Amino acid sequence: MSEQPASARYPAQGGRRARLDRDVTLIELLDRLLQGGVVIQGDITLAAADIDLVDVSLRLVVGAVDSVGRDLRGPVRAAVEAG
Amino acid sequence: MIYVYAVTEGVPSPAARDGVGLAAQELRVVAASGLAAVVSDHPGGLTSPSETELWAHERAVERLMADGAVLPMRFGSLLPDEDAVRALLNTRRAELTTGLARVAGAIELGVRAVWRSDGGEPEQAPEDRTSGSGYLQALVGQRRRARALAERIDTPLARLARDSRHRLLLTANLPLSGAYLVDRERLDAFRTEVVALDEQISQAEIMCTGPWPPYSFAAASPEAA
Repeated sequence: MSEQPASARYPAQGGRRARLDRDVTLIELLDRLLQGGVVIQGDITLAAADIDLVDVSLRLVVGAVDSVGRDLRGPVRAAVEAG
Repeated sequence: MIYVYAVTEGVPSPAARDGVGLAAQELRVVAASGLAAVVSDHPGGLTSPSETELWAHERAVERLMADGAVLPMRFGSLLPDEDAVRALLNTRRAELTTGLARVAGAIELGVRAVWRSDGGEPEQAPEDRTSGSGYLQALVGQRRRARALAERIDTPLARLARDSRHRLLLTANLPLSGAYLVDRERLDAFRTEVVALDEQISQAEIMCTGPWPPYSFAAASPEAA
C-alpha cells in the first residue's frame, strides 16, 4: 500500500508493540466502518453476507487480541449506572 | 450503482476529492439541499469487499476531512442511482446538518486497553467451563476490573473531549474500547494524556489510534435520543 492512511499513524511509542498496534488498528477500522457512520435506511447496501465475511475473516487474522469482542459489548455508562 | 463515502456541508474543494475510491473509481460530488455527497460510480456493482476496499473507503473520507466537517457513511453504502443519493440528502437534511455541526472542527480518536500479558491481569477467564458458578464468578470479576479500568481512563480523557462513547469488552485481553470526539487543537494534549495513562497504569497497555473520521459520532448519541 503506497499511501499510508492518517489513521495508521501513531504517536511515538517505540517498536515494542508494533504488531499489537497493527492488529488494534485493523479492529478499530472494522468497528468504525462496519458499525459506525451514517446508515442508509433500507437494505440497499453491499450484500450483508459479503460484509460479514470480510468482517469475520479479518477479525480471525487479529484473533489474538479480539477473541469474542464483537458480540459482547455494552455501553460503559449504562453498565456503570446499572452496576 | 453509486457508492457513497461521506456527506459534507457544501461542495468539497477539488483537492479534497482528488483521488480514487473503491475499485480505483474516481470520486465525484452529488449536491442537494446545501449538502454534498461524495460518491463513485460502479455500473457493474461491486465485488466482495476485502481489507483493501475498507482502506480505500477510509482514505477517501480522510482526504475530505482536510476540507471541513465530514459525516462518514457506513462501509457498503450503495445506492441505485443519483436520484437516490439526492433523496438521501433531501429527506435527511435536518439530521445530517445537525450531525455535521456536532463534528465540525473535531476528529475522532480511538482508545483501547489491552491487559498486559506479563501477569498484570490477575485472573484470566478460566478455561474450565465445566464449573458453571466458578466460570460466572470469574466473568463478573473480569467485568468489574474492566469497569474500574474504564473509569480510570475515561475521567482524564473525557475532560479533553467534546463527546465520548465506550464499550466494555468481555474478552480475555481487550477489556475496553473508547471513541472520543476531540477538537483538532486538542489532539496533541489528548495523545499526551493517553501516553501518561499508559505509563501510570501497570496492568494494561493503553493505546490511541486516529485521527479517524467521526464514524462513532455520525448518529446522535444514545443519551440525547
